[in-house]
Amino acid sequence: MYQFPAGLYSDVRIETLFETRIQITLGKLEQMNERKTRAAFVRVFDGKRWYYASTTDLDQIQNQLNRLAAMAHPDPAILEHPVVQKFEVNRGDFIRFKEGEDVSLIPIERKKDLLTGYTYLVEEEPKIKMWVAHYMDQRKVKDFYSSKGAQLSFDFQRTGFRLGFQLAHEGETFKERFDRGANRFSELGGLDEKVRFRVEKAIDFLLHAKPVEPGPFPVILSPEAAGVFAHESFGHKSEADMMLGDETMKQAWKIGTRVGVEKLSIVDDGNLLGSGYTPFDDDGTAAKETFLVKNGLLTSRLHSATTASALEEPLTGNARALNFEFEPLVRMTTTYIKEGDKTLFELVSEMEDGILVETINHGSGLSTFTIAPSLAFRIRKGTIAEPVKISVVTGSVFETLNQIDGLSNRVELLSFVLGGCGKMEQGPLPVGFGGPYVRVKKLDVR
Amino acid sequence: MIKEIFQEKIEEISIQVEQTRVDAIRTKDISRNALRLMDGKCIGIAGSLGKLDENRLKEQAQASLKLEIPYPFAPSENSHDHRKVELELPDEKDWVLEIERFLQKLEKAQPGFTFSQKINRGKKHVSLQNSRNLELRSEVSFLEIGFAVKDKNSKNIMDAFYFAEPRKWNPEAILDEINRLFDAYQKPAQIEPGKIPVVFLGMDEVVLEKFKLELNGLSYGTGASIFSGKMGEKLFHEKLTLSQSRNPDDGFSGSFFDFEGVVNPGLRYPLIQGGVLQAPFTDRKRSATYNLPLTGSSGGEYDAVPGIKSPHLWFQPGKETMQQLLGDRPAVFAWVAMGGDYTADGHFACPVQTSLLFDGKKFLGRLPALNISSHLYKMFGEDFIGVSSDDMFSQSPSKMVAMELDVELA
Repeated sequence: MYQFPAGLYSDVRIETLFETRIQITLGKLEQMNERKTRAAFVRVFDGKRWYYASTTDLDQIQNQLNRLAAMAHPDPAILEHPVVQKFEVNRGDFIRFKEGEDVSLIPIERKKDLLTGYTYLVEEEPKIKMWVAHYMDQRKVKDFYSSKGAQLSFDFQRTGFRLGFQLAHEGETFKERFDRGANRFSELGGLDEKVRFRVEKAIDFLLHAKPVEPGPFPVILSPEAAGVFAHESFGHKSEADMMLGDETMKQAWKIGTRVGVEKLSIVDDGNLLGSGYTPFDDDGTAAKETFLVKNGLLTSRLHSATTASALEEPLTGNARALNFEFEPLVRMTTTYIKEGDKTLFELVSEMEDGILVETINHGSGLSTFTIAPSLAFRIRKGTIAEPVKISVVTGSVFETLNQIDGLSNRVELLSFVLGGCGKMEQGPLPVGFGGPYVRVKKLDVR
Repeated sequence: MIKEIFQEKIEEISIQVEQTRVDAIRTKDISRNALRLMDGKCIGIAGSLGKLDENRLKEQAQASLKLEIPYPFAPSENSHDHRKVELELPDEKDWVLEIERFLQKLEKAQPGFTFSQKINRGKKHVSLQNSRNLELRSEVSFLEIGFAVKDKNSKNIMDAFYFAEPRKWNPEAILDEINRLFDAYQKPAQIEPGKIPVVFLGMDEVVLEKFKLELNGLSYGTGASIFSGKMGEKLFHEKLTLSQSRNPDDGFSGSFFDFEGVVNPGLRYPLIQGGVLQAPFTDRKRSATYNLPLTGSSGGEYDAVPGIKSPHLWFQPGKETMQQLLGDRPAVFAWVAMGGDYTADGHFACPVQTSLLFDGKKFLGRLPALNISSHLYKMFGEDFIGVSSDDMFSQSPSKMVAMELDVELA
């Protein structure tokens, strides 16, 4: 156990990492390695300022604590500080993925076999000119100790594969992917038909997609697109560190403010399995289910202990660091839109002329949020018609949540194995997202 | 058997800024090592954090060799090259105080805004040595000022960015740069929509992302790139020369050699020269497989098999300043243009969240939110205006790129 310096709050996070990476490009093995590392992040707080150190030498943790303490200004009443008071003191062993599920115990050859078992689906298609298959898993055990008495051990693991492929035919090109993330290796088998379906859709897109006529359209977002929409358009606005000391933001985003239509609810929940699973955050706070929006009203926001203390709101378990090199920031876990009461068929059939965004390349969210679609389709007279090429779909963050006029009745949560969320210097952080199919009355499509 | 050792070490002091005040101080001292064994057919690699234990890594690399990852390429050899990039910075012990003073001045100069995020300084050491008499060592000092800036009257989570990598610490000059931008931000301005000049910083990903995708040697070699088969063809305006660069003068802050030890003359390799496609970027494998020039664009995580990686792309400056290039035409400086993209065939559209009216030298006021659009071959072809000889900012490499785009009010 560490000697925590007097008059200061301090904590130590030790990360024991196991990772596997396999890459096959056009049938040739390019990467196949396992990585096992241990490293630590140390924090000291004197009531006014934080002092951090990251180290790859675990024998130096006590020295790092002492060194940071020497930079700080001890306060005998540190335990009374509102931020320090906010920290939960959790103790115990919360290892979830044990023998049989622990990806570090599965031979790497089995992982390679899994990946090669899917590559025939892209190898056999002549229009696919280039493909890269990735397998990745990551198991992280975190040990967390604090000067308040927290002492816990918990784990996170994810595994998955991605088949990325580029098609070309008579001067036309198109790039698509199939990406599946999971928490257990056993969840990755038997997906051949889903991969095949995605490849077929991509070929159809390559052969038949037409440029979209730019302009405003009603748009149906798939669960993938809706999840990114929720993440970008609203999730980032819910991260409370963005509004500390900012009176305009506090007024604009006051709890109870109507931000969307009555039928809209958005949730963030680190308890949910998937890429965003975060049983404890890097403040040592246990995961919570947090309704950001309930029935269109702003109900809560995402917090670290620092922001929860500053805004006098409850902890939510959203202080997350990318890895041992970084301090925790307020980040999302699994963020999704709750289901509505319509079927996808109803959403489409009620639309005279519009767009369906099925898969996306990326999204962003400032005052204008953006979604760059990959597979997208025109909807004409209530049916899904031809594929369309779209550079970007945009909308105002402040208006779009009020423009939702339909939600399908089934939520799909998605986890991807590569990519994630970026914030400041920390990314990509694994997050989960999803929702039902979401119909928006008007978005700008280009 | 060839043995190769790759090592990187990062020492960093990071000052976290919140609301234009120092909120936290982070120190980092991280070492990563990898040992590669190559038998002429395959490669085995093992990696570790912290101190290098060569014997242990060698054992693990031998086991990795049995995985039979093909790598039938000769490594770089017979070269000893050590280079340093140093900066003029205050002593580390005075650094926090120095930043506090700077932030106080910034707050006073721009009371309508809050500045948050990071000021990082440090050193990156990278070395690559092998049993073929190769010893490459790079030591690069860096200073990165990255602010997310929030207008206190705005409901946005952020309204603008300021990013600089100065070669020396000159707080007055940095403050002048920030004042130029944010004084203009506070003056509303208008521009007539239509096909008008738009100016980007040359490092802007919005400008570069399609090139990074389509100039990839793997995409090119397999026929999946829209440029495939067009090497030697004039595809763009003759004023466009785009190189991959590891030259610190071009805003690159990494080692002078790539992950396979390739060093280019002048630390640059032209991919598009005078509008003519010269080469896609390649590592050894892509170069050998598709019979393409080796451009030295290998990269990867420290313990990975060297693979192709998007390089730092750099627009070669022209002979005219941006003011000369624009003539009397008013232009849009696309300050924050995020989230846009190209379709597979090159159509481009992007929102511009924050922009300034710009005459090539002075920022004249803030424009409303805009949408911009064009096509890759038009914006870098007939509608390309050029690359400036001058920098937008005096403290960091910041050449400007201008082109005519279709601009609409959002």
